[in-house]
Amino acid sequence: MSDARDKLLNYINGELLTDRTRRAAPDTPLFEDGWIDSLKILKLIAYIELMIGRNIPDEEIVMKNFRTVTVIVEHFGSK
Amino acid sequence: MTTTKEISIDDAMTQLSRLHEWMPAGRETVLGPHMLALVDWVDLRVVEFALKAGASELPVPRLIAHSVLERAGYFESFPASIVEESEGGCMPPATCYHCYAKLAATSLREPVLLTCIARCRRNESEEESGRLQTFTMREIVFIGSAGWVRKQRQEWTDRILAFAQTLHLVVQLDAATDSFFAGGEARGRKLLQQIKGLKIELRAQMDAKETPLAISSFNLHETFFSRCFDFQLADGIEAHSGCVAFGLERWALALALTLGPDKAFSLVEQVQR
Repeated sequence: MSDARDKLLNYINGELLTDRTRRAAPDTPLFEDGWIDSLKILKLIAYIELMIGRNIPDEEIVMKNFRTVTVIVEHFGSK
Repeated sequence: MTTTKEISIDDAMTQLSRLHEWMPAGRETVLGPHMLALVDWVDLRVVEFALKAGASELPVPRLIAHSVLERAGYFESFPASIVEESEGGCMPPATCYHCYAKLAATSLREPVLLTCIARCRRNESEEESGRLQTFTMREIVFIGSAGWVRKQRQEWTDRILAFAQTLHLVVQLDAATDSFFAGGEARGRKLLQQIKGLKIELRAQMDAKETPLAISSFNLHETFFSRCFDFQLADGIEAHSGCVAFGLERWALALALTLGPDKAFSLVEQVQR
């Protein structure tokens, strides 16, 4: 679980967040303050799909599954 | 009296058509005098709510400039074919674009609450009972800090839900997304809208067998329009915006089908007496 969490955090902080003064922690809300825009969410979903080895249907892309890195890994990592 | 529980939406439509109150004509629908009066009646009720809340009425022209829709990123999210171009501009696909254009390049000293009405048009291919290509949309637009805008949306959602229930409409609130987003990055906008709960629809049950029809929507745009049109709050803080939209013909149709035409039309007469 922590491997997946670290991988995802590294991806978000290294690839998605272009503002280097901003760093996401495991429990940082990802969808407040405009951290993730419309392009970044597509990249994030594509990365998670690669991690878990399956496509994520749009119906699963809701706040309760995507609020933080911890929540994402708990929801998708267990499948 | 016949109720919608006893007749299907098609039967009720037939009844309205027989009364010459709801008449499909090609891809358009022509409304009779009682339905038009009912549309005005719903609009007046909404305007009363808006004025009581401190809104100012913004008169808007019949057409909107193509450049305004372009600046609003409309054509990046929706197929251009939806918009009806005519000499001098476009039929607006939604009313609220006029408001953002009006506020372009301004600094707002205090939160703004506006209301306006426009005949709108979307060249949609989807055919659904109650879905008109040309329709009347009343909107209430709120612009201010993130917290204020979010509070406004909640208050309007509560207010209009209660209003619909007072009218005995069978309604529900559902999370929604705009249905005409194109592919590519627009899918990202749609997913963000979904994750953040930016769009809520008030849907009215017209008939037990039919999917409820959206009659209003309650929307948050975050800083999207303030960035597109370069307006901000006075102290340099980014302005957030939100809006409530009313599809007035749909409200009138929901009333006519739920209450029955006679009872629905009598709402107008009660005021006129």
